Amino acid sequence: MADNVPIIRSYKQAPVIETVLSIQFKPIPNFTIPHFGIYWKQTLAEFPQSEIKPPILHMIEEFSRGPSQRSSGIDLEIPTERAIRYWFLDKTRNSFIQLQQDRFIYNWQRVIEADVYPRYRTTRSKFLSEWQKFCDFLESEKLGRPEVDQCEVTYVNHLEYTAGWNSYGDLSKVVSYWSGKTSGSFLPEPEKVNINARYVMPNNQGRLYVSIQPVIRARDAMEVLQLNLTARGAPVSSKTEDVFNWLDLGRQWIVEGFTDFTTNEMHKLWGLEA
Amino acid sequence: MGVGSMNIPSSMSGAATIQTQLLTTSWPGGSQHRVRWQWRCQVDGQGVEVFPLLARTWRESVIEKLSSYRSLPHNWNSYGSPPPSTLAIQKAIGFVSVLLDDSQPRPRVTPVSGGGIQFDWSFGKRELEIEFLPDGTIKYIFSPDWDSDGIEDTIDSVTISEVARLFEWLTTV
Repeated sequence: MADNVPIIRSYKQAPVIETVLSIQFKPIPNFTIPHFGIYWKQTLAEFPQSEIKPPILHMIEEFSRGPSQRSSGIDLEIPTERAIRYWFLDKTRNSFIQLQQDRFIYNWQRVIEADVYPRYRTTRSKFLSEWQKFCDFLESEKLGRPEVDQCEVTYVNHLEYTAGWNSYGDLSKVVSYWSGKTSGSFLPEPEKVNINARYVMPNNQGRLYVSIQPVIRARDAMEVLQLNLTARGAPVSSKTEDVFNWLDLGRQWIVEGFTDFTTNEMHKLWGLEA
Repeated sequence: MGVGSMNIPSSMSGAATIQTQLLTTSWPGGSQHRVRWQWRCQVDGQGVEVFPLLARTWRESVIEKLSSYRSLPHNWNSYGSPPPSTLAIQKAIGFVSVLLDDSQPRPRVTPVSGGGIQFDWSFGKRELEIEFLPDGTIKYIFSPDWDSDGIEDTIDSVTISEVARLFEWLTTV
């Protein structure tokens, strides 16, 4: 498959600390716990660490009444303890694969301050390679091809208070969406601000979710403003090319959405390239 | 291994779940079986661990206060003490976010001389202190009444069941 990633805007010093590329498919009924181990054995050299997690709910973007959240159908057919998710992590914990009966996910995360975001082209290429290996694994185990129903791209950004702003009274210097203005003069400047917004992509191709939330980061116990962008929607088909075309679209919405949502002053600080 | 989750009102992805995880391994030594814990607060699918603010709970304000100890200067107490260590702050935040819940009594939280953080609760004459030391170990002291020196122990980790036992002791006359 051609690696024809669309050229869009980029930043030299984007505040991104994590990217998540996810493919969700109809639960594979015969994918049982031993299959996690068989799959891990094939990727063990590169992803030698594992962690168990509760599964992420099966999410479908519906356009008549908003997004829906439902448990994967597999819960009705097998005991609950089989509905699990595994992380398979590399030595540095910078990248990891998440696998559950109805999802295949690839994460890159900044573990230490010096880690450099490898850029979308690199993470996409890696995810494509791992997805193809996963599909080959399913075929070799006679589990069939995944019927993809949603794709998802998430970028997590951490905005530190000293970089371009110092308090929530300065939030309008960061978020173009936020004016900070009030009708009168009663309210002081906000102590904290939480924003959630949702956008529909043209032709109901998916949705973009944008949220801004103050958080304490576990790594260094520092309070930062977390800006999350998630694009989710259905590809035209389960073919790998269509799936990755949707991921490219989702990533485009995230980068353009990030640019629209934040101010030109911050773009300069982050080194907007094009 | 235990896994749990709690709902947080404002998650961006439509999946408003923050996951917490307890990693359980054997604790060497001691008369009681204990488990180690680590804390995890992650939005669905993410790896980076955060604790969201604006949840409007006492735990949130305590966590915010703990985070603010990062900016305490050296000699903050006028007696030459260093500020709380990052490890003590991380452990204390983990303790509040995973092992306490909002139905439990709110602790008084203070930095202590030498780089640690102290939590304390009192009920009648009984007092309970838990101190997160600069090296990440945890010291707790039970005082059954004001005249007693109390019983002291130092450990590396604490569990949900142990916290429940401490509060039961504190509030049972």
